[in-house]
Amino acid sequence: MAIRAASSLRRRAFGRRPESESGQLLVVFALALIAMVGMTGLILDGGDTFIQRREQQNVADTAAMAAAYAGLNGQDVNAAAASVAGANGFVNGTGGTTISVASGSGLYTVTITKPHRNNFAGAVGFASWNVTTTATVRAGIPNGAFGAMPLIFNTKAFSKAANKTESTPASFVEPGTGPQDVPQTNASFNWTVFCTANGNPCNGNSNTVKDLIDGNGINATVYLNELIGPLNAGAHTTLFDALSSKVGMSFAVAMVNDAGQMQSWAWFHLTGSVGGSTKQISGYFDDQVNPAPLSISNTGGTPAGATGGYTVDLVN
Amino acid sequence: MIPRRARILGAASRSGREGGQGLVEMSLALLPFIVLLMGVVDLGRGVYTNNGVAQAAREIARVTSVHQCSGSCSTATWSAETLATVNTQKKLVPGLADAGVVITCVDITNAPKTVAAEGCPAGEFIRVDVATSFHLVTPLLPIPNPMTLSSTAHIQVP
Repeated sequence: MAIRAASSLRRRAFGRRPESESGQLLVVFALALIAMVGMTGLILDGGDTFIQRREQQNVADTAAMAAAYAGLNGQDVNAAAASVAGANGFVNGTGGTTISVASGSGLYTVTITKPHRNNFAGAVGFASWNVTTTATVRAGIPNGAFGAMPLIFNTKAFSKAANKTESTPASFVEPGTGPQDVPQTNASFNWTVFCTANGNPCNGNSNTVKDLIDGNGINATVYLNELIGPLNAGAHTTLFDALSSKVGMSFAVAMVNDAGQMQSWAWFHLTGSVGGSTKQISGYFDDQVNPAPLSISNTGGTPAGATGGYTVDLVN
Repeated sequence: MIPRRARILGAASRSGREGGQGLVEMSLALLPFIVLLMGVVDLGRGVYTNNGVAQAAREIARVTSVHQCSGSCSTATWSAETLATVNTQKKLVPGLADAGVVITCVDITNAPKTVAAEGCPAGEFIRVDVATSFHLVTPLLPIPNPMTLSSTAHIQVP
């Protein structure tokens, strides 16, 4: 009985809070909850979207490489890109994923779009975020070169200097004089100033060639099948000496036919350059060519397929 | 039978006695709650900024690997594509400035390489360091304010 009385007293003294105040904190909490869910969305969905973008970029890069190789081999570029993307979790047409390939002028561009389905950000009005990534690969036979050495070889030289190594290079000597100044054999080379730079007929001299070797070269455009006049015969000691400072390096060189017409660029690794009475350089052609200084443009013509190496470069 | 006037007076008196209690309870609870809420918001901002800085480093490294700087990668020599990406990232990452983006060419051991005019050689790596200053809005937390959030990314030059 006493307990009941005390309880009744307590109820009177500390009775229920008036209706107008109850739930105040609930309203504040509800408002705060929106902010908290929003922040959670920003962290988890935002972070996950960043991750998807990185993965998707890698997939786009790989798919563009696949499309380029397919294009070089005359296969379906769309199928190649979709196949590689699908194998990496981006299946065309599934879950809103779209994969498109645009090709032309030696460029293969793959665009992948996939929506990121948000978990938390959906509560504040962002159901999904579209993620789009693009990658472009340039592929083909190079018809341009940066930093090319002023050397010309006959295309026959491929047979002698291919598949060689640092320890077993092939050697090349200057050709004879007169009409023989264009390299005619697989064991000869000559110097050139890439005539188009000085106008035809070009009057190259050793100083111009030496400038090219030393990197003070001319900015010239050389087209395929253009005549690249070689340098006249001479001692050329300064040239062999200048070139000897480049031993161990690889660079682009020009390949010509018997008439001295530009056929393609090749990637040459120099292992030796000896002047004096020897007048011989040595080195080999790299089979696997993917260096940036060899470029492909749609203004330079198409090189003879049998002579140059293909390049496949990610360019965007 | 209590007269109507007395009932009204009684109710007013009880409300005056207990209404203040709710207000005190509310104010006591609200302070830690707001600090907690601001802490959650700050943590969210911090994690987002940290993610954003890491993402910015990767994005800038990716684009610079295929659109090289002209010569050494100081701000003035960035390619147009790199500059566009940096500007995009500046909109996404609060407080990020050009000075917070450092691009270098390194080899596989992370040693700096001398960059010629044609850019970082194929096979070497573009290294991007991104840093931004993060300001907390919650006061009185025992952590440095502002703090620097940074990230580094490497991408091999194709």
